[in-house]
Amino acid sequence: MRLLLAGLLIAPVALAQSDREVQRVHVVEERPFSEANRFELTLFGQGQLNPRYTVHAGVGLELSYHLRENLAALIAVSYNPIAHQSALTEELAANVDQQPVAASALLLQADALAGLELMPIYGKISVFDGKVLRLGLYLNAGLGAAKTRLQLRPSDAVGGRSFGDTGFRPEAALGIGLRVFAGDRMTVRLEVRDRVYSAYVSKVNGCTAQDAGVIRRNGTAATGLTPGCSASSFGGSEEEIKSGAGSAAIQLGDPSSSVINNIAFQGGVSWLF
Amino acid sequence: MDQPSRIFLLFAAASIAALPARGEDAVMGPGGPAPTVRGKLYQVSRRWEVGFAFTTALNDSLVDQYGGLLSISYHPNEWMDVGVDLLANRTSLSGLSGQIRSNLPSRANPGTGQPNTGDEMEGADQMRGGALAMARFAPIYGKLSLAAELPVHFQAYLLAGAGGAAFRHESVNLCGAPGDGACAPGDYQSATSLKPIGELGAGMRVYLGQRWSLRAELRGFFYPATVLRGADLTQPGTGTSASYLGTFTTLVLGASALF
Repeated sequence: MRLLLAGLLIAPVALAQSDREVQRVHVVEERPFSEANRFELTLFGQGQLNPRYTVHAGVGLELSYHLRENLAALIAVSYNPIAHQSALTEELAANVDQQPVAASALLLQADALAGLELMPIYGKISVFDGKVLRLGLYLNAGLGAAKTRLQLRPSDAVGGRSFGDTGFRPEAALGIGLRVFAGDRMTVRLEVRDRVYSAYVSKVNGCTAQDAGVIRRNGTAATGLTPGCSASSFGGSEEEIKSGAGSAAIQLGDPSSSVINNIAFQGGVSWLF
Repeated sequence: MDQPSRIFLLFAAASIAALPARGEDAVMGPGGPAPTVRGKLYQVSRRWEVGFAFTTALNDSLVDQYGGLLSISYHPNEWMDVGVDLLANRTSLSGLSGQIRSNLPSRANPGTGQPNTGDEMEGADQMRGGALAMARFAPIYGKLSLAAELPVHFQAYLLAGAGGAAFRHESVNLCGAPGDGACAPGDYQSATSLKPIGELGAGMRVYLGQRWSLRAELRGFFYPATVLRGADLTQPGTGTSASYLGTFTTLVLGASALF
């Protein structure tokens, strides 16, 4: 019995002495759980990081299927209830009678993407030397479509901001993020995603610059409009229609195209199942 | 059979209790399970840190700011350090400001000759330098494995600070000379001032060894700012001053040494 107890006393000391040697040994730690062959549903909150001419904030939903430990296929949708011109853009119009070209201020209302995610780097974190959590650093890429719009009236206009529909545009996205596993079912995700979409603006609410000019002058009495263009799409009242169409006519008068990088920070919570 | 003493039993029980804790660290290696060391490989308690970093302002549409940041701090424990930040910036108005200036509306009505009025553009303050007392709070320590062979130890932290900064304010759209003609380059209203400033940020330190580490941070600065509203564009010094909270964000990349 004493021999056993003496052995137990010596055991921690012996382990401590062997630690220095063990640090030099290549070791592979068994992972407590695997995300391979599992689905992951993530709810994101997101906000634009580069708001020069535009401001975006919204929510996103992503469904991934982890084909392997470090590879997943994903589909994602996002919606920005806040998508309008920045304070700088409105200040430019109000104070110095200037505005960015329409393509530079094209707003991303919503989007849908399909793509792949690669998680090549794993690690661990400890909080206050307490609970140890696993984490993974991942990259993702996807292709899809963006629903866009253009702001026609500023926030201080009568009736507030108004927008014109500019349709769907092709979109690509690249992201880099961190996934912290809070357990075998729940993860916390932090990600920066660059959504790149083409911004060629030739029509607003289906109306060309000429159409918008006619509506600006004649309101609901405008005739000879392009098929698909309607004066009523610019507002409810005659005043709103004329001012909205006037803004569209000015912005479409100088045709513009661009490729917009909408860089957003996304924070979310996932459920693995 | 002799009975072991109570102290002996207590000590033995403590030793047994310690074993499962080490068992959590068990790893599978070539020779079977082996214990490893858990805990912080790089300790910072009771050490001084001196850091130097390059900074660049982000999201400052009207102003370009590049500079350096010298940080000196003391770590009383593993979770926080307190110290001072000294900043110096090279600043100028951005290319966008130049474009705005080249298309400014006329200062007087060409038809009537009556002076036009306007508001000054916000966000044109240039921070030339500053000194802040700063505290960093670092609750998260972690390790990443790059290519399964190279362990990278890091620490994530939040920071906050307060102090004073020297600002140069150069108006983007208000001329410094009276008249109704176009404003000449370099002839815009300007002023310098010393203002209180605060900062909030988050960052990550990647350890290269016991002494050296690399740092990456995002810092948001905020300060009391003013612009002129309803100014007579032909007469400098007119208009009423309006206050707002000036902000800018800075990316900080640098290195630190621990002593």
